[in-house]
Amino acid sequence: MTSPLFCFSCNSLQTIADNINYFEVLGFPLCFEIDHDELGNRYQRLSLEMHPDFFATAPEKEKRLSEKSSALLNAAFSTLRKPTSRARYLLSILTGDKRLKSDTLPEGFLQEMFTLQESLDELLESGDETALSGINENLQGRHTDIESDYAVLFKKFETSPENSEILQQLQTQLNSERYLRRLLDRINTE
Amino acid sequence: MERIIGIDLGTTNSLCATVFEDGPEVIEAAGASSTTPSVMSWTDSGWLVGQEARESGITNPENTIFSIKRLMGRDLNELGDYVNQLPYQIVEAQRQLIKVRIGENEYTPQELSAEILKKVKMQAEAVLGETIQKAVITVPAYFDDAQRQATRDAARFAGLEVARIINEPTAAAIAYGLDEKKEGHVAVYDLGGGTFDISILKLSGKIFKVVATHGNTQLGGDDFDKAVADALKERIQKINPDATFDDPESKLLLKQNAESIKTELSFSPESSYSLEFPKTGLTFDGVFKVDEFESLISQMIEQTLESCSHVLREAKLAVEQIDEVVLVGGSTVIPIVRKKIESFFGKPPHVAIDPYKVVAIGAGIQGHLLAGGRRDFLLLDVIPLALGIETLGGTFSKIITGNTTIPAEESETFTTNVDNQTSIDVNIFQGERELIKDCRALGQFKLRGIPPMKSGYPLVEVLFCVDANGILTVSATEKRSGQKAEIEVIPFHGLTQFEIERIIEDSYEHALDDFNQRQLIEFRQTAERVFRGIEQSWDVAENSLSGNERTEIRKQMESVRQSMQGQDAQALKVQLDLLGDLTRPLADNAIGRKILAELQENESVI
Repeated sequence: MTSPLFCFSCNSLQTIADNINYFEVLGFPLCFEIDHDELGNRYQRLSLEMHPDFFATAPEKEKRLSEKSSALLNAAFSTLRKPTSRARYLLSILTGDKRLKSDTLPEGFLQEMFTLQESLDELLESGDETALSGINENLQGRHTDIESDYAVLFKKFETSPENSEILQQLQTQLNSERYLRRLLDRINTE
Repeated sequence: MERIIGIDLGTTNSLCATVFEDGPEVIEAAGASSTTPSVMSWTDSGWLVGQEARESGITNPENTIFSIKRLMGRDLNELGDYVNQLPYQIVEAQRQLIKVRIGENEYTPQELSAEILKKVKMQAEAVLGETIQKAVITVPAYFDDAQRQATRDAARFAGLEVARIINEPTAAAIAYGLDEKKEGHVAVYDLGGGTFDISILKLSGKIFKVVATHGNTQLGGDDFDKAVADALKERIQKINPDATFDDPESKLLLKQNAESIKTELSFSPESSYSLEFPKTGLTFDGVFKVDEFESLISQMIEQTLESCSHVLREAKLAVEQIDEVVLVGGSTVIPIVRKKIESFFGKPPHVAIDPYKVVAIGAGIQGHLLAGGRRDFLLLDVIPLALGIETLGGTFSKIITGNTTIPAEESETFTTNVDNQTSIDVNIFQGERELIKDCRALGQFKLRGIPPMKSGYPLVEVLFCVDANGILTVSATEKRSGQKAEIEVIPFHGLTQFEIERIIEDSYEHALDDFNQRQLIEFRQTAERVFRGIEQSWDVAENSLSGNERTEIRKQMESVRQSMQGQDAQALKVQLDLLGDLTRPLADNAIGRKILAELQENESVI
């Protein structure tokens, strides 16, 4: 594997370029689909080279570089590991200077969420476990659907990169995800 | 390779470990306990630390400090009623700092904690026969930034460079993981004297990754003692409604008896006690049954299990997915604690490792790794609680979320509200709640030196870095001008850079004095012993020494006595050595040898 942060042949930390992105950090192409096992392996291999624990007796400058490189590696791994954060990150790169509407939602979605929210309030009040787990399952299903849509949309964009409408659709999906996530968190913490 | 030892700086006990040629082990002298009680006592001749302090405590309660760890990085508000249970006196100092008042003097918890570290360091140096400058120090995983900083400052006051601060459960996991070479999810349940932590780690190959951690830095064996002490009070007040327990002696007497009742109930169904209050002369006898003890602490154990549920949710794991439960901390030897853990996790906990030593040993191994002694494993830890800033309306805006792997870095851009504004104040908080009033205020960062521009025009990028110790540092740059903004940090619960330096300077000035003072005490004690020896063997001396020699000895004894009145340790040593020379002919007989032995023992101290 290669990473711009560490040279495996000369065994040393490399200076961090200003505009480096998380995909580059772990040596992946700018693409939504990612091999998860490989992602984990690369993260471990790089951690085992760059972590500050291995630079405790190094000169101050190198120590600091190892802190910075490891912080970047940790951020890259945690962002790319989960589909939603990876999609959000990739979307921001692909969007670049283009402007997207930030608050778009599918038609009727908001109304549906309000209804769900209300019944959730009632159920949490009454403590009806069966009904709650029903809602939970429904929401989980919706959430999974959204997450599997990311790949389809990014693929579509790859074949027609001039079509920025696809990016707007991704933004819409990510906005819906945020609503669903919030409701799911509520069920799980209360 | 420079040695980096591992220190478990505990609420009740502290100990240290290192990697010897045949593997990691606690540092202890043959026949001596490696454990230093985290207790110190101020006496006329200076600090007593450890076992001696613990023993002298009952006769010197208001000058005997224990559980100092619970005060680290905290303020009076947060400590609440806990302060009133302490036999020693707590006062409020500058900002929200607290200090312990002993006689005329006031000490920060950091300085007191440093006394324990000094003692541990000294003992380790004596055993290893080398000076120690660097250490890995463990803290509860749930310690926040202020508590970690306080620990690091304590080490500096003790003359130790902190190579790394690591979390106690993680240290335990290192020792366990390297020992057992297992893979999978491990839950480390750590219930110590004053703190509770639960951490879930994923062990895979060389990497030990903390997935999530949760806990309570104000819950531990201390609280079990308090529950027993309160029950004792209640019993006594039933018989004698006027009994009060507010004086330092009674507080300490109750605490110590509660502690031994608790300890005995770990292996016996009941414990009998016999209390005698020195002030009032009142005595109370009785028996404490294990059922009563268990019902007293069950609520607190439930609290720890709630944390376990919480951490499983955070880790997105079902309880069945936990492959092993490792117990750490003295309070996990209590049978009811083990029973409840077992029923929660659905499997018996792993108890093969010594819950008292495992943290220090893990820290020792980590120290060895940092020193470059090995690189065959890596620990990836997390920040326990989110870090963020106060935004409009008192809301807490998270910048680095909880359970993020460290080191971590995030930046946030700020701008100005008013034209030509050159400074911005940012309040930093740590916690998991929505509103800052429910989070911990860490401090205020004052950004200075922003170039004068129209309002809203400057872009001040503030970089929040959490290093591998879990400690936050902040830096800032104005992006348009590229100018570095100055940052002044005002910690709410910690010491400023200036205060730290002043304490270190003071302690350096006093260090020589302290050393002289300690030696003076030791030499005076030696002189007393030598005098006793000479008096005992004087009959023999009359036979074996000439009259002239005996007069010389008497004269020299007088010189030693005079030096004993003085303050110069070295002068006293010179006089003692002269006395040694004169009594050397006595070595021909047994008693004389005894005197010489006393003198030689004295020499080995220097």
